[in-house]
Amino acid sequence: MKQDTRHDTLLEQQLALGAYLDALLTGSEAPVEQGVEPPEKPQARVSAAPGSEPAQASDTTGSVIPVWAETRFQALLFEVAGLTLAVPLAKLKGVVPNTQGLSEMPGHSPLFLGVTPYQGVQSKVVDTARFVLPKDRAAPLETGIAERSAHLVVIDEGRWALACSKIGDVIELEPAQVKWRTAAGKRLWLAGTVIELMCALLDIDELTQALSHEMA
Amino acid sequence: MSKAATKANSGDDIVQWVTFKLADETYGINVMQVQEVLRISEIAPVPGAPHYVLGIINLRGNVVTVIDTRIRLGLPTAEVTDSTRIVIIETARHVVGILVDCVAEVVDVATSEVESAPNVGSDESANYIQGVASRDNELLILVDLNKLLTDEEWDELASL
Repeated sequence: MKQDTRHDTLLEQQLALGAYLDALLTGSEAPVEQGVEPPEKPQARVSAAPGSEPAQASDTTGSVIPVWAETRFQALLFEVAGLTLAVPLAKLKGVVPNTQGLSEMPGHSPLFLGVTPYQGVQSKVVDTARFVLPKDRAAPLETGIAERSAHLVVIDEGRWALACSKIGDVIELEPAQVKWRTAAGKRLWLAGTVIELMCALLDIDELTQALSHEMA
Repeated sequence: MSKAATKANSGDDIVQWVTFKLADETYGINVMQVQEVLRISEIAPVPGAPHYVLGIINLRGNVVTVIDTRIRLGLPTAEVTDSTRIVIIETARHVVGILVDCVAEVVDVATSEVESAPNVGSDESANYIQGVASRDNELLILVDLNKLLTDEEWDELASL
């Protein structure tokens, strides 16, 4: 009986997380209010490397599939306040342990924890949890900054670093394994979700654009 | 040629900066703007002064306003310690004191070493950051003292 109860609880948690990831994708029926929204755009744009072909969207579902995900791709898993995120290796610059601490700039936005030198560049460190989590879940994050910035996921040629609590495995994904954001999705920084891994796959180009917009 | 702004062999300007600590970060101010560094003494509060003004001190017969730099920069307040200092600075318009956690040293920084301040969503009042420079794995935040306060705030300070 005890095993059944535990199994039911786990199932409920998985269903809840699945529903949450689905809500993130659509942006319409979010279980909780989204804390920080990237800027609205008239049409979802697919990230593309300079000079590359524009990405294709599925005709049947309207899904927006980034160029790097047109074929089998690899992604690194990392954890932010209990939520597993994935960054495509094609868009990853590096991963470093946050051992030397961050230099905090005065008067900065609460979304940013500070800057850290990375290969000659002052990387701006994002409080990823505060950026991706809904406001009511991000609010109690005042404590534990050190824990949730134990590692830094460096992106955009070192210009940005995403603070995270844990680095996970590198996984390989087929495009079909991902439930891609549709053109109607509001969270442009979210490329899609991988339900079997209960993780959210980031669209780094859109994420950096959203972060730059926060700076404007 | 000024000692504070010399030219290196490469033609790169070298500026001397007085560094001080605030909330574990290192800041620098142009040495030419520093008059003296004082141990903390009795600071007389001024009723109705802006929140970032700690009060006034008597400096050899002259009244000098002391700014709580932590409050001005939006940093958490801290207790006064043995290391706390008042740096008397001369801006384009005023002579004021700024309260800092401790004064560290005077460093030479080549202009080529100065990077523009990273844009981290700072509000307009944070445009006093002139730039940053990396030194010994540490970030030195260079402060333009003339922009520490807005024109209106400098005027308000003068009227205290």
